[in-house]
Amino acid sequence: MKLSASKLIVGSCVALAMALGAQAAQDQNLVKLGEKIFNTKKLGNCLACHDVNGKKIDNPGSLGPKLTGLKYWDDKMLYDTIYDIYKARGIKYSAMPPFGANGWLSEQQIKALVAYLKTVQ
Amino acid sequence: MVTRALKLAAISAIATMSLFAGQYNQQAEKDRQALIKYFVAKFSDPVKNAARFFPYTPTEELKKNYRPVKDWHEFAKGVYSFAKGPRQQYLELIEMPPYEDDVDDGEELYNSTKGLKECFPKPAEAAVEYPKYDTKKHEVVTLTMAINDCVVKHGGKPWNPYKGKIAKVEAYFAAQARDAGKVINVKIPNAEAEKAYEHGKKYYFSQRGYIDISCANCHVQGAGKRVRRDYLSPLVGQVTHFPVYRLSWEELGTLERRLKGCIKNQGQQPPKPFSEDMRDLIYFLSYMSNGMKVDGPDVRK
Amino acid sequence: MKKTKFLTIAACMALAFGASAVAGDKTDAILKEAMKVDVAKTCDPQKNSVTKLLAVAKKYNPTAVKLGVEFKRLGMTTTQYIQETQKALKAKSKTVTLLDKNGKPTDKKVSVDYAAERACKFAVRALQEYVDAQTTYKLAIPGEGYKY
Repeated sequence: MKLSASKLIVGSCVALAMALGAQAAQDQNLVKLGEKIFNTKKLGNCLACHDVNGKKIDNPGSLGPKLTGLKYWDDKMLYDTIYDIYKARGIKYSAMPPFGANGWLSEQQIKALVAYLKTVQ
Repeated sequence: MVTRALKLAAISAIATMSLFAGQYNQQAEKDRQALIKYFVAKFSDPVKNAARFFPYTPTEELKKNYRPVKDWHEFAKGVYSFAKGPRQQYLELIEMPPYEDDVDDGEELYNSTKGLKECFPKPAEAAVEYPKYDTKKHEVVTLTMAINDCVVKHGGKPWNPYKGKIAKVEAYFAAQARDAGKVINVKIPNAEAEKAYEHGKKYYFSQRGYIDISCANCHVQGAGKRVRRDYLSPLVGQVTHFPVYRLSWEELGTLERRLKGCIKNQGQQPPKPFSEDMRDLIYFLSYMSNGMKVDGPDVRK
Repeated sequence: MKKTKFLTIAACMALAFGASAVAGDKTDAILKEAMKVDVAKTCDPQKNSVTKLLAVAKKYNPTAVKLGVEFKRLGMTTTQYIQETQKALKAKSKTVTLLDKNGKPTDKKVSVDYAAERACKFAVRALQEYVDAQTTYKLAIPGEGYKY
């Protein structure tokens, strides 16, 4: 009886570890995708205006702030800001595009960006 | 008695009209002066005024890469007025200007193309006569449009409005104007012209396209900042140096060409070269450079 | 918030009316309707069929074209997104081939949902931006009170 119980426990732990590992791998993929969207001209092209704290960005622009401490931001706030900064901040004139509202980036692409930005110190 | 009263009425009417002759450019002058004030405030000491104008530029970059600009006439050089590195490259480049043959070609075309000598009897004047509000045609006439119309009126085929022959003739006109020290002096003669000015101004400041930005986002609020590695030029002085030899084109291009290219790059559909949008935009842009000397043709990246 | 939004829309409409006087009365009606659309809901492919999304796009895009504000992204206009998505629907395909700036098919494919959502958002937002710009453009003008 003791043997099958411990087998069960080990089995559960392995399954949990695998599930967490799979989730982590998925999360990592999403972060990588977000990073790609951030840095690719034909995708998000965020580096055109933004530098990022702690990351190696290739010639970032200075039109927008250097993104810092975003790991402390609420996920929804990050998403909403990228989706439509005008609505999120109640502003009327900005150089930052409403990526989601304007159909530039899809929901999935913005989620990937959020995942990447959540790694910013 | 009646005739005397009528005479008085007529005189005072004329007097009132002349008094208000300059009224149509009141807002335009206000706009122009306000922009000059803004850009001088912005560029006269970037390091000291960083918090106000360059909140996202690292201090080392402001100290190392920015050259203070105190005289607004210097903005004719665009980014080469304030960006040290690009300015250095530009000064080296113009020791051997790449457009000199084009100026000569332009002179030849001016002399050989039917109509041009009649339409533009004084080449030095042509560069500053346009754009103008034609009160008889009730529309803005740009230099490119005037040249093209002239060629066609005298039996020729329309020229490409962006490059080639038209750019060469404009280069010749600009060079003549520059040598003669001509100053840009766009006028707003009546209410219709004022409307055209306001229409061009509205175009410049209106956000549009999937990026949802205006020309002003980059060239007013964004002037002096960078998109990737490229510095953004200020609105004041943006038209003085046309036609422009762009290194990326490896040839001359007109103002219409540059505007089309830039607007396209911002994810917007550019207005056609002789459309009301384009002509009124050029009218507004040119007025904003009033008081500056013609310094075309010139080189840009 | 609602009252402010209503007043803003009313003010924008008053100005847009002047601006689109040449375009005619129909334009004003379309603009008015476009301002009421919430693209997050109306253009969501999870909640609306591709056919419905295309219907929205086809409703608003002609006015965007007329006003000279039709969206164009990486060489493809809203009109082309609508056309290519319709082609895909007809061919019962799940993907839409993107066109290049010369209108030739590229090797890039997106899902029909993606293309339809984009067509819908592009069409509506072009008009919403147009109406907003009637009032917001002055905010950035130093000669009209821009503070710095």
